[in-house]
Amino acid sequence: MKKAWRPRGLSRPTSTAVRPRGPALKNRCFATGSQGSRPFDVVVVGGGHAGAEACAAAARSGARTALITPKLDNLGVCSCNPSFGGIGKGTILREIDALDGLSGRIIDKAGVQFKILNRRKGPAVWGPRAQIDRALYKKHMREELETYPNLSIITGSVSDVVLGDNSTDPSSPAKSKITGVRLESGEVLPTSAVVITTGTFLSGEIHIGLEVYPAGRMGEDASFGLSKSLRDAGFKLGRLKTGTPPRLSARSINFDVMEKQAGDEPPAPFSYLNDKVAVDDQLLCWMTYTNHASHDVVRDNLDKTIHIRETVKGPRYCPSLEAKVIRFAEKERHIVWLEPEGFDNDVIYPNGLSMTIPAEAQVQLLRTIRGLEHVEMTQAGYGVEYDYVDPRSLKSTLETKAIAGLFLAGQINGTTGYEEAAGQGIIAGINAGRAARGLPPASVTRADGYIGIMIDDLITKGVSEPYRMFTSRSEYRVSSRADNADLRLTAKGRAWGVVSDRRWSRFGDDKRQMEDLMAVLSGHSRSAPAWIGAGFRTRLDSKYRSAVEILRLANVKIGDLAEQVPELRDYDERIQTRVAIEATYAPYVEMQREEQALFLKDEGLRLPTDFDYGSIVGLSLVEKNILNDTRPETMGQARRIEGITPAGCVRLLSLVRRQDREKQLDALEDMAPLGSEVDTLDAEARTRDL
Amino acid sequence: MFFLLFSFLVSSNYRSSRFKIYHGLCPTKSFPKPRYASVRTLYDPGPPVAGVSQQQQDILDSEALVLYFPAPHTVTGEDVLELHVHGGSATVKAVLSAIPRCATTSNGDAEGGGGGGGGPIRYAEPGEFTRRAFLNDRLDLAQVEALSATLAAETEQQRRAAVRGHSGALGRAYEGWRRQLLAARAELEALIDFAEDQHLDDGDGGLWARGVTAQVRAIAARLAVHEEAGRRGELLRGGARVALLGPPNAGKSSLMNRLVGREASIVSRESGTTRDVVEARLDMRGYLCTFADTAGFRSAATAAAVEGLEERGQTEGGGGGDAAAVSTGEKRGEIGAIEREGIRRARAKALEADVVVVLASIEPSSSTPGGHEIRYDLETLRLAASCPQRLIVVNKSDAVSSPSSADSELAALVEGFQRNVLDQIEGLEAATTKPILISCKEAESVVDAGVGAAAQGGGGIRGSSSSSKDPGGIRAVADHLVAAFAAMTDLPAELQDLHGVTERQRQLLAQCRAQLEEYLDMVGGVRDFDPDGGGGDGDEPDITVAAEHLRYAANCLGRITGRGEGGDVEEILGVIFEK
Repeated sequence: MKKAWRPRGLSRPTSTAVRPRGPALKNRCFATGSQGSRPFDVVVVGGGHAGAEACAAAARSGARTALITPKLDNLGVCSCNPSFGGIGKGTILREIDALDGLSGRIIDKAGVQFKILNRRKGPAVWGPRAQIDRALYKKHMREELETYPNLSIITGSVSDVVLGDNSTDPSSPAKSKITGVRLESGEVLPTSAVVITTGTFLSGEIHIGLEVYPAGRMGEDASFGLSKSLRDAGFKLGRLKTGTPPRLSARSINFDVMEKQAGDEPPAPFSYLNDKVAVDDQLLCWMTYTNHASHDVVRDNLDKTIHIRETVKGPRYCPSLEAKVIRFAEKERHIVWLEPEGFDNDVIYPNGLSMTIPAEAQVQLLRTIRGLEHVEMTQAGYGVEYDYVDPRSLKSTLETKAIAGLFLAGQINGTTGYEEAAGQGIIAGINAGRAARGLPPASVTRADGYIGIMIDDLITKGVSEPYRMFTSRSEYRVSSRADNADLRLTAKGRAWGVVSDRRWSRFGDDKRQMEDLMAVLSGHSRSAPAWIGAGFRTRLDSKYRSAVEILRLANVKIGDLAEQVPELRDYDERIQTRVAIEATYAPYVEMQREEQALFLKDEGLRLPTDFDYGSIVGLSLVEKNILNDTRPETMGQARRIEGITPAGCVRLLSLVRRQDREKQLDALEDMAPLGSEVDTLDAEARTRDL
Repeated sequence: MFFLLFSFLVSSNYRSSRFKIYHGLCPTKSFPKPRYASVRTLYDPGPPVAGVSQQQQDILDSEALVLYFPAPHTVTGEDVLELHVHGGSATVKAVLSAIPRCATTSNGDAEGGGGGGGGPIRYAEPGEFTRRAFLNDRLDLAQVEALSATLAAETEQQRRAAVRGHSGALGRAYEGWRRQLLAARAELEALIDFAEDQHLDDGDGGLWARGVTAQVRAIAARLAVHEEAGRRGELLRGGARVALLGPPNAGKSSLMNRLVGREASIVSRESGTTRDVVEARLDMRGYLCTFADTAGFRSAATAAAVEGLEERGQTEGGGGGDAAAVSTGEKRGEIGAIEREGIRRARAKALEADVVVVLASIEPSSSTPGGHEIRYDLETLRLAASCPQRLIVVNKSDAVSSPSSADSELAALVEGFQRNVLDQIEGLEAATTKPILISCKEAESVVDAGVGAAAQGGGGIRGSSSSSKDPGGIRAVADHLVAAFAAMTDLPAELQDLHGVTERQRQLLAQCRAQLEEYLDMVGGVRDFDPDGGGGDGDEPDITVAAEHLRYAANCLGRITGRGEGGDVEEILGVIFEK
């Protein structure tokens, strides 16, 4: 039952035995899994960034939720960089906050330096980013989770999920369903929804030089039982790899020879609930470079790293130093950012130096770098290789298509990054909570924002390398911005029951103020000579222009209008800035809104996920195979899958049609409301809203 | 005469868009009663902010059948506006290209979009009507299945035609540009997504973007060439439009009939018979063309101008030979309402024609007994001057019949016409235009008599070839017309493939170029694009919006080739990571 290889190196052998699921056991679980007696509606496995958001969201949705983690100290651990956000990723964090998630608020408490990237490239691609104090982040996250209403934290390890027969449920095509989880102690915790967020721990192994040993993170056990049972349940698993740089002692670094980078002043908070962040005196980051000597050390040791020699796919965009040296052989230097890990913390994180060469070689390399001549390495960089589940087996709710009640979120789905994990976590959590309570699913679409883009990309295209968010992945970049995540999502979250009264009222205030100010600005209409006379460079013609249109002119800041629009003073700067951004992009947002409406129409056409595409006449063999593998939920998803032709789509349309008619007949017979119809209505309602 | 039904699709905001189309094309008439066929005159909606009054607008089709079907009982289940127009492809093309402009004309007051609603009107995507019909419950399964085969074929052919069908080079060109645009976008995307986050080496950001700008400019220029080629290809396929203009009774209808070789309009010696525009299509040595025979011009302005010329002619009045005497023949006859309308239509035809043929005629002189003069209409000449391809034809060479001095008298008349009239009009100077002398009567009598080689005495300057082979000089006119067609449609050998650019492609190319130009306006217009440079912010264009324009541009090309849509993200990331 165990994997063929034996663990080497540091790690303790782990308990990976999977008990056979006999019929008797199944029945017992089935019996105890009934609604009335089970202690928890939702169980979340793993307390990383995906798990934290998932359990909190499930709890907010009203489900009695349990978070299972090997130790309390693991909650809120940042296993790689001590920073959150960035371009695209920062927008995901704002979206999580708009759905009343945790990350944004915790970052505002734990941040040591706040900076908006892309400041000069237009607000649509601003990337809020923060360096955090690891210890503070963990502390605040743990406090938050330990006091979260509806949420219990259980220390333990999950070895397996317990399944029951689902063939009697006519509304779900899944053959089996979750009835509980089995802990390593053998105890079974009955539940109807499980969110697995085990990150890199599924059959994880760590690589340093030629050393390989199983672990999910330095010093922590990997989990194998789940890998095995997921594979047994028919999921396709693949291998991905990632890496982390060595850690340095700040005392041994000569910062004087490096360029400093300070945070924004004043720092902009991540959470819509906060007017300011906790930190007063922000910390600095420093910049230095690698050089020929450093690259020579890499080249000399390339044969001594198993991570690089393997064929498993690593990320192209957050490449290891080895990958950079191999691929960009002509480059003379690569940038290195030295980032503090906290206020009272001697550890420095050298961003850009992810590597897996032997530890001694890492020290040798580090000391070739300017300012690091006498550096002490406190922990070597290492690579991690882990199992991921082909995300095409998921629905847009992140529930698996094959097992009802089983949700997957985070790195297990092939993504990389805290933000991507947290973004999936919150959606999986909301849906697990709603599913457990018998409520219809809640999914975010591509038109809703980056989380929707990410999930749709994952479930329609799958992954071939760790998936990371970029703004270029979004076709709605101008309308899905970091500043307006609340306008896009908070009302939806409220409808799904996961937005608290406090946030809802704050959002309502902001929205009202923005609308008022927008109305004021629209009402200030003047002739071209009047605007020109006031110093605005508009075209001299016979048109009257509102202050909103003036805001669209290059170089005009909203503050410049203070004299013409005295009411501006009644609104605080935050509202003013947001209204100015809205005004700037309004024409482009309008264009995208039309695209979105078309897009949502396709999304409204549901496809059955249990259909045998092989039986459809007129689909090519390739299309049949792709569709049988991917099982899209909607026409829109089907169209986005590579390899599906327009002709194939027409065939699928006729399928939808036939299914709808059959369903209508069924509905007439037993009057059962259909989930898909609710969804269609929902999509149509959204289209109308747009 | 046949009718053609076609349907256009608007992007999303149906209700407002169909009203926009209707009111753009029929600005004065009320919206047709649902499900009743109404005859409407379709007008060109004109350029976006035109100060032109309705009367001056061009007529696209004087009698189109307009049907309005309100949702939901329609073919697609949505509002449908059907336009049945006359079947000439020139008309269809004119209407098709006018429809997208309806979107912009009606909201001229809103600056910078935003409030407009509705949005761009575009061609339906392959299968889109079916999809909509489906979505709206209008097609049943059997119908869809019957349709899908056709649909698939259509889609496939469009793709094939563009990608490797009859013109492989075109598909390669589009795909090539799309790839170039992807590469250009990749550079911008890299700046947006990686320059700061991934700490790409700084400093060369500005250079990258400048490279992008140069690339975009080059693609825009080549798109313009293709658009032009598209117009040429369309001329080849749809036929060049030839407008015959001239004063009443100059022989326009006769010339057309001689050229057409069939009775396409009533020929009469009485002036002003052709009140309306009569069209005939013909294949002229392989070139398809549409002849529009128009009402005779007799504008008040012309009359006045003619007066002036007459006086000058008289004061200059030298020897009989070079007597460039001119007059309108019928002086200051009242121009009736019907005639005025006929002239207005003729003017409209002239403005949309690809080739203008102006007729003048030799008439007995009104001032010198026994002498002759060339009668012409000044406005028709001016209209000709504004058309890139034109022919000045002088009819009735047979009017000068004295056997001995005919040639010299004709030569003198033409020379005087050239010097005193044509040379005075910019664009019709001797260097650019040579009047062709013809005689429709001779040509007709040859045909009537059934005599192959004309018996009429040869006239050296009648036509360009000997009249025994070219009775009446008609063939010379045809030669010149064909030369004009060739000049309009020919492409250099290396661009021959561009004849395959269809009207749909041309529209998409035009949209693509419009996006590229907006990009260039944003980036090039302001100052050097230097996102990583120092200095205060604010002055730079929004790189996100700039990238947006490139994305829309690449999408337009993708829609021609059937590539893109979603898949391009991976391509772009691929390009980025290659670097």
